[in-house]
Amino acid sequence: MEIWLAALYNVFSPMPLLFIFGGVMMGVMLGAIPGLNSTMGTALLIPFTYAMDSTTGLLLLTAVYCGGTFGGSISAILFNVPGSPEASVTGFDGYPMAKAGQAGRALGIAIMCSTIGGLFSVVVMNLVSPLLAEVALTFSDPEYFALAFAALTLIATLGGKQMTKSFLIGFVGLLIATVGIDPMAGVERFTFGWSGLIGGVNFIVALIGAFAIGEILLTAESGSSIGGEGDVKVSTKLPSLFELLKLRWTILRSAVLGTMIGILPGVGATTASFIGYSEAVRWSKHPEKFGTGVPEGIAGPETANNAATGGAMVPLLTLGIPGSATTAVIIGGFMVHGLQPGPMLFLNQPDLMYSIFLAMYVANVFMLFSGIIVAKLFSNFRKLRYSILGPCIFVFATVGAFGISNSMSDVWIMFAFGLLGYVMKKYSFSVAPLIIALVLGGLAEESLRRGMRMEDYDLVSFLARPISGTILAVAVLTLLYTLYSRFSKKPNILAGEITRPEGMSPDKKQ
Amino acid sequence: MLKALLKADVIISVIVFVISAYLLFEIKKVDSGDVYGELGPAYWPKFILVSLMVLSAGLAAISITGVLKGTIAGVKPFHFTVANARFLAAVAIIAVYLILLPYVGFLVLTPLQMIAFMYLLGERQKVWIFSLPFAMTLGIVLLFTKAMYVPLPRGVGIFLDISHLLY
Repeated sequence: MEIWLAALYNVFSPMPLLFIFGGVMMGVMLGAIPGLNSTMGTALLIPFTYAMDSTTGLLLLTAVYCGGTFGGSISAILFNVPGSPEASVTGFDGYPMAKAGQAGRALGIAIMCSTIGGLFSVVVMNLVSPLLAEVALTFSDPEYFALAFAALTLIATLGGKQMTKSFLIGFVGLLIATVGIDPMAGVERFTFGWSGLIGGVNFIVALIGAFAIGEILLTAESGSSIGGEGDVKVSTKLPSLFELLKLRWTILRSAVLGTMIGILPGVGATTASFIGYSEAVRWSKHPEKFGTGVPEGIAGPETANNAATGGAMVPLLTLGIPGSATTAVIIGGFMVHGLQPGPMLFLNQPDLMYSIFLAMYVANVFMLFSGIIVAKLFSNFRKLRYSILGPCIFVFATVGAFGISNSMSDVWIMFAFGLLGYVMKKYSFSVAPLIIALVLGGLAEESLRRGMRMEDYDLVSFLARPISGTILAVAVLTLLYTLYSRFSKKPNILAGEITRPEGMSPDKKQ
Repeated sequence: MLKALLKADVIISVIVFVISAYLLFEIKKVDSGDVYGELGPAYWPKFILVSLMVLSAGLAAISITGVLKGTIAGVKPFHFTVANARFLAAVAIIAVYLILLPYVGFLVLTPLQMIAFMYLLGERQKVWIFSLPFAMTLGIVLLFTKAMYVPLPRGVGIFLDISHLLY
């Protein structure tokens, strides 16, 4: 009880509250600007926390982390330019909704689901963190491979009738993910002597290129949509209780999945959002509508990626193991104050630990308000003509790509992906499989190779392990069934095609 | 048959097939037998590249047979249009900007690039054309260099001196 009282005092004093609110605002804004994200923002803020006491400094960093994870969805929905990698899936359905004049509704769903996902994960983190961390520790490479494989099977579902195209572009994504130094053998692959490729193709750079530059080039060519949106009014509309109830299973599923994925070391909010989306598609009664602007397509990834924030804090706080890139940076925040996160910190400074729990509750509630404020600020950009907006997006994209590693190589890679994105959009290749494969490619390869070595090069033993075996079996069966239904031209019941109205094509998915 | 062969899907498939075949040859250079165990650095890329070759051949076959059977529309005759010119101009503007950026620097080059891009996209209001690029560049320079410590390209010679006025 004393610990909780101390934590309440630490968090609900004016200055810490101000820092938490400021941190959330800053995080949301950083997340919303393409190329900037909460990881970068947290890293840049660490030196500023020197001047603060350790509790306030760490509260600020966690607030930036919470806000930044949501912020990317604002630009993903409004401009189809994900501000951060974890928001890239949100654009699949958020942007079509915005284009259909429902930007405010899409933003409202994103904000509310992010808040719910974040709060859910903090409750879980608070209540069962030591237990969950123990379960996550039993995960090994076969389980990680199974998880990546299951997410990659989504490509088959996303392809609709153009499954070959989807697989082709998915494998292109997997190939691009192999560029750079092989992390296990240390040899260069497909770098062709160019130093810019040694570190591999940065996922954010590829995203910015394929989405932002590709869109700019396509719009420059088409000319038809160059006109502005005149007096289009975009204001955030939070979903009604009825609408939330309609989304309850998607939200609950994504909240659980996101929290669990967040707990897994090394698998963060980005993977959570992709799996949240893939599961929303898998369990939906109308999966053919995904990619055209459905609320579930926003609720799934947004709940999951924010749920991963609380989840990722579990191994960080209880074991000192980062659950994501940003939590790895937050470890740096602990260290500059002479603290080592882990079980000993629970014994030595329990009030700090519980202050962080409380701060994350507060940050997620603040996110609801700061999300609306920042979304309003960014939504005004939609009133501008594309002839004004396009060049601005290009400059932001360029600076964002450059800022990732302060390298012109990344800017050129962004441009190359812009051309690729243009070709793909022009010739009806879905961008989603490319991005999914690019994100999960590294995880799939490394966990497969390490797992195979661990299991004496016996793939069957992956199936013998209860968790990886179950995940793989479900994924393989789903994939085989999807392939069977495509080749036999029978409706795919798992993809909900039995209920598809006459004349509705699944090819509309992006 | 020519209508089928010139279809974009077929052309893309051929390009993917050829590049995959070349990369398959390239990756063999790091294939060091069992030095790294049974799954060396070339194992995964080889699996991907072979899959890509099979898939691209499959896509080409589907497209060609589709056009020949009439289930997929054949390629339309190509005419160079204003849209094509605008696309090429956009690519050229971006490419020239990226080439010159290390030499001219962000501060000087970005407003010029933005003006050209805005004009290309159809903006004709002089107020916007001559205010936004400068305001935007200034804002970005201040945000990224002062608050985020991103060392935006400064350029060389006189451009370097100009950049030192701001960051």
